[in-house]
Amino acid sequence: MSSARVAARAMPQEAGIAPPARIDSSTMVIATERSRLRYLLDVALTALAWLLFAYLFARGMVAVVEGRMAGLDAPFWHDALPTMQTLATYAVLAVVNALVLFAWAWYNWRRFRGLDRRQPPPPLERERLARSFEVPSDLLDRMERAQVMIVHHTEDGRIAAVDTRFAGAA
Amino acid sequence: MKDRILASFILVAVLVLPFCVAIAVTGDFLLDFVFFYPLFMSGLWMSGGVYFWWRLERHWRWNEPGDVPELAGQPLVSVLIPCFDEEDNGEETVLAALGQNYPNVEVIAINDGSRDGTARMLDELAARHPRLRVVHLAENQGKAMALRMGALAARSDYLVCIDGDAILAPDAVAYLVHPLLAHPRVGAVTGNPRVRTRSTLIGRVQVGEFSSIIGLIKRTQRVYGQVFTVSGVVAAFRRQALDRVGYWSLDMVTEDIDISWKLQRDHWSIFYEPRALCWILMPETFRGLWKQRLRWAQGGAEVFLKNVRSIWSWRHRRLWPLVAEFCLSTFWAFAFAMSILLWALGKFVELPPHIHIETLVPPAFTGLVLAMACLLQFALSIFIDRRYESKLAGALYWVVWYPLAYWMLSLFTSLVSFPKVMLKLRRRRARWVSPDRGIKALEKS
Repeated sequence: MSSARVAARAMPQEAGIAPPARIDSSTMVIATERSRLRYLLDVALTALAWLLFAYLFARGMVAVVEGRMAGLDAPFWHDALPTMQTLATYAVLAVVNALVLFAWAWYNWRRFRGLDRRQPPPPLERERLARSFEVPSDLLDRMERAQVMIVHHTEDGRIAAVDTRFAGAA
Repeated sequence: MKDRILASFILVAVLVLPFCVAIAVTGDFLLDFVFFYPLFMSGLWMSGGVYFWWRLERHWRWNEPGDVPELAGQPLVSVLIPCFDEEDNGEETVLAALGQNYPNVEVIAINDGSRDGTARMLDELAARHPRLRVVHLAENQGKAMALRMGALAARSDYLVCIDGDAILAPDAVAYLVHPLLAHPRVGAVTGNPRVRTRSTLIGRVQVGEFSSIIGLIKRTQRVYGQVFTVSGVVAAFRRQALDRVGYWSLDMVTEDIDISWKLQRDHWSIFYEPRALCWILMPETFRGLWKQRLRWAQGGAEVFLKNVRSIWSWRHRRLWPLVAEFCLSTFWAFAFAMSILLWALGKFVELPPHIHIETLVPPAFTGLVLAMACLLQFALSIFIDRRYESKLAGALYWVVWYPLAYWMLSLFTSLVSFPKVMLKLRRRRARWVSPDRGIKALEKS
C-alpha cells in the first residue's frame, strides 16, 4: 500500500471547516478605490492608445486606397500587386506556421496514441527520499508525523536539525 | 572557466550580431525583422490556441454537474505553500487550500524565516485545522529550499505548489492532480493564474496580458509538446519525477523555469490545465512590474546558460525549438536596440546608406497587419478564456496596452538581464524578495 494511502487513513478529516466563500471574479477581484481623476487619466491614456492603434490601421488602409487611386490611369493590378503580395506573404507564412504546428501535433497524437511507454512510477521509497535529502530515515518518520516543526539548516543548505517536540508556537 | 568563456562569447555574439546583419544585408532588413517577429509569434500563438481549444478544451465541460474529474482511489494530495512575510495574505491562502472540494488534502505551509507575524498566524491556524501542517525554517532559505522542505515533509507523492498569497479555486486540486493519475509520463501540471489586482492601469493591462499572451503561449507550447515553464504560482508535481531530477535548484532566480527544463530533459511531460484556476496578486506599479519581469527574464537567461552546452544531444531534440525561441526573442531585443541606435546615429552622423534607418514607425502595411493581428489575438483569447471568468470582455478596453506592456517589457528586460546573467561569475543562493502585491498592500505598509 502506498504511503499516500496509509497517510490518508491516518488523517481523519476535521469537522467544522467553513466552506470556502465563493471563489470567482465576483469575489476575488481587488479594485482598490482610487481618485476619480486618476481613473479618468487611465481612461484617457488608454483612449489615446486606441487612437494610435486606429492610426496605424488607417495608415495602412489609406496606403491601399491611395495605391488604387493613383493607379486609375494605369492598370489596377500594377499598383495593387505589391500590397497584395506583401499581405499574401504574411498570410502564407502564418498559414504555413500553423500547418507545421498542427502537423507536428497530429503526428505526436498518432504516434503516442494509447501508448504510455512509461509504467506508472511506484511510490517513492522512503529510503530513497531520505537519501535524496541526506537525512536519516527516523528523522523522516518524525517529520511525517509532526504537525508543526522547525527545521534548522547549515550554511551550505543541509538539514542540521529538526525540532518536532512541540505542537505550538515557533 | 569554460562556462565563463562561453557566456562571454554568447554575450559578444548577441551584441555584435544585429550590427553584422545590418552590415551584411541592410538596416531596413534588421528593422523588418523587428516588426515581423512579433507578427510571426502572434500567428503561431493564435494557431496554437485555436488548435488546443478545438481539439481539447471545447470538449471539456465547465460549470456543469459532474464536470470535475474524480481522482481514482482518492489518493492524498499535499498542497505546499511556501510563505515569506505572508501575515496579511497567508490565512486566506491556507483556508482556500483547506477548503478544496476534493476531500483528501493535507496542506503544508512552509514558513521561510518570515520577519512578520506569519509564524504565529500559521501556528494558530494549525491549532484549529488538523489537516494543516507547518514547517518553520529557522532562517530564510529561499523559495526553492522551502519547496524542498515541503516535499520532504509531505505524506503524498502528489504535490500541488502554490504561492503564499494565491487563492486556489475550490476544484483546482482535482484538476491539477487528475493528469498525474491518468498519464504516467506526466511529471508536472501547470494551472491557470487569474489576476486579482485590477486597481491601476498596470494591474488591468495584466488581465488582458495573462489571457491574450500567457494563456495562448501555454496552449501553443502544450500543442507542440514542451512547455517553457510551469507557473511558479500554481503547479502540481509528481514527487518521483522531482526526486529523479534533484528537486528545485537552490541557485536559480526562477525555480519554476529551471524545474520545468529539468523535468523535460528527463522526458517527463508537462501538461497545461486551464480549468485549474488560481487567483493571484500581481504588481500594480510600474516599478513592481519592472522588478518582477526583470526577474523572469533573468531566470530565463540563467536556464538558457545552464542548458546551452548540454541541450544539443539528440535525446533533448524536442527542447531545441524552445531554445530557438529564446534565442530569437533575445536577438529580437538586441536587433530592436541596434535599430534604435542606427536611427539615432543617423540623425547626427552620415551612415553608409545601406545601414541607415530612416524611421522607426512600421511601414504602412506592416502597421496595418500588426494592428489586425493584435485585434485578432485579443478577440481570440477572450473567446477562449471567457468561460473561466465572466465579464472578461470588459478587460478588452485596457488590452490595447498589451503590445507595449509585453513587447516593450521583453525588450528592456532582455537588454538588462541578458548581459547581467552572462557576466555574473557564480550563481548564489536565491533568497526571497518581497514582491509588489498590488496597491492595497502598498498602501497598508
